[in-house]
Amino acid sequence: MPSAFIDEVLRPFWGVWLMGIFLAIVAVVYWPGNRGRMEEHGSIPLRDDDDERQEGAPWHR
Amino acid sequence: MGHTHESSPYCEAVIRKFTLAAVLWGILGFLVGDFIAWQLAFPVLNLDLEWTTFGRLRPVHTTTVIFAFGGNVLMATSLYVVQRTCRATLFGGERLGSILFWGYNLFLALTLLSYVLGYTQAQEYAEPEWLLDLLLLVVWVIYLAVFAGTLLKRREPHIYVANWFFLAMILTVALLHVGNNLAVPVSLTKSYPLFGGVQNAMTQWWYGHNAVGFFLTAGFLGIMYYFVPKRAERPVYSYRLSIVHFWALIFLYIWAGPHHLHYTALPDWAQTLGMTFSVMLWMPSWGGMLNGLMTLSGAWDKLRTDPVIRFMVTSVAFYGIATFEGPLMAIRSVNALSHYTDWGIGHVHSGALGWVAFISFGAIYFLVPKLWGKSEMYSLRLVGVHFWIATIGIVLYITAMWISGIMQGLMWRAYDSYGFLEYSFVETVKAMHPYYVIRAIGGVLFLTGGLVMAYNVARTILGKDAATAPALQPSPAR
Repeated sequence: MPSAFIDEVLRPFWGVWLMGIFLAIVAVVYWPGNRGRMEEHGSIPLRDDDDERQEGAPWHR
Repeated sequence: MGHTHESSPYCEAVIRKFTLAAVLWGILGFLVGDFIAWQLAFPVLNLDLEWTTFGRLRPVHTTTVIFAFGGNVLMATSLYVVQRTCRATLFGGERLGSILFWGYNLFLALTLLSYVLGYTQAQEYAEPEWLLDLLLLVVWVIYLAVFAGTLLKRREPHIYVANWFFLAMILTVALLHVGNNLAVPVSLTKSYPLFGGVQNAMTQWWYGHNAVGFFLTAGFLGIMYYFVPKRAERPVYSYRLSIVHFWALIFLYIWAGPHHLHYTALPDWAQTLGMTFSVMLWMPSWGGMLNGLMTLSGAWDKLRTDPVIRFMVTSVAFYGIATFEGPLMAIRSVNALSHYTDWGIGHVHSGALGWVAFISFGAIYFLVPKLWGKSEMYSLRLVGVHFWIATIGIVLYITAMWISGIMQGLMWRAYDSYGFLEYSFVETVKAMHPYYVIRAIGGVLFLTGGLVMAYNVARTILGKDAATAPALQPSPAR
């Protein structure tokens, strides 16, 4: 049964489900409620400044 | 080795090694590239020795710049970025990092030696013979373990997008390397590819184009998404766009390889598939380019005052130029003119020199002071000198190749009123000679810029802290 599903549905219609996955990603990313959280991630590189170099920082092990 | 930050919570010794190796390999790669450019203009420079012929030195050049310079830059930056954005030390620590460094660079040294001695699998960008392929496979698995292991022990809940690009690069290169190097060994130094004929060609360009798409694009986009915001001191223009950029690029790139095989025995449907996906790549490429450039919005003055930012921003602009030109050349009717000509060489180098090398230089200039505990490079003025010398070199290179390539294509296809070809092959070669000389002069400039960088890096590492030296202040805005 799974192999029939792969052969008859997934393989011939690969373009459709691949596009579906991509559109779902775009929808999640651009969902208005997600905006603040998403853009917050953009500041991750700016939070690794030199004060983190100090001995005893929580991730120092 | 100069001052280091003993208190750094991160493994940085291995990153210092990769950074230094990148600078050294870069100089060698540019040097060999320029030497073979002069060989094309003056064949006597083949020196009548088998080891120094263009045929053997050309893969030495491509492997050195792509896998030695580019590879060491990618490993330095990816291992730096993954630790910092995950707030975790390197998986396996300095010891595994060191094994990775020496393993990878041993592979490179043996591979380059094997080309000079005449051992090759004759697959473009995948020339190493099977034993060296296996060595690289082991090294690459270690790289994956180090990188993914660090991701798994992260203290930052979200995986920053630069790491997505790096991980996609590592995984896809593993897949490509295994797929394209399936071969039947007949001795320790000789093997034959498993696939033959058009299947081999298709597999080879699936590999070849995705080496460009994932090694030279996705990996270096990872660099862009970390180092441009860091140097500009502002977050990426749109984090949401960076995610769409990632997924669109990953979904589309893998299908574009057949555009290298237009008008060949490859079935038409496969050629059309390659062309269509190449054209679709315009969208994510330009979305990503605008995202990188717009990160500077509100801080455009840094372009005047900070030559490191200038390198990074110019590289993103070149990314836009090269990714506009690539899909254009993938259109079958345009390809009828451009394929097999110097236009292709010009296109590759606008991407390789303008995008890959410039974003690498920017990252190296950012990393070196950080890694050796200095506040800035020894001389930002010299960074500016490097920028302008290299930029003029690139402009000479790509304009010479555009003119030469289009002229070459037009001469090949010209025929007279009786239907005879207008020009013999040797006439086209003769016509290209001046452009070969201009290209090689451009290469001299690019190499000179690399030497300026090496000097600046050495003085930064060996010198006192830049903050105490007056000559190291940034140039004022003009």
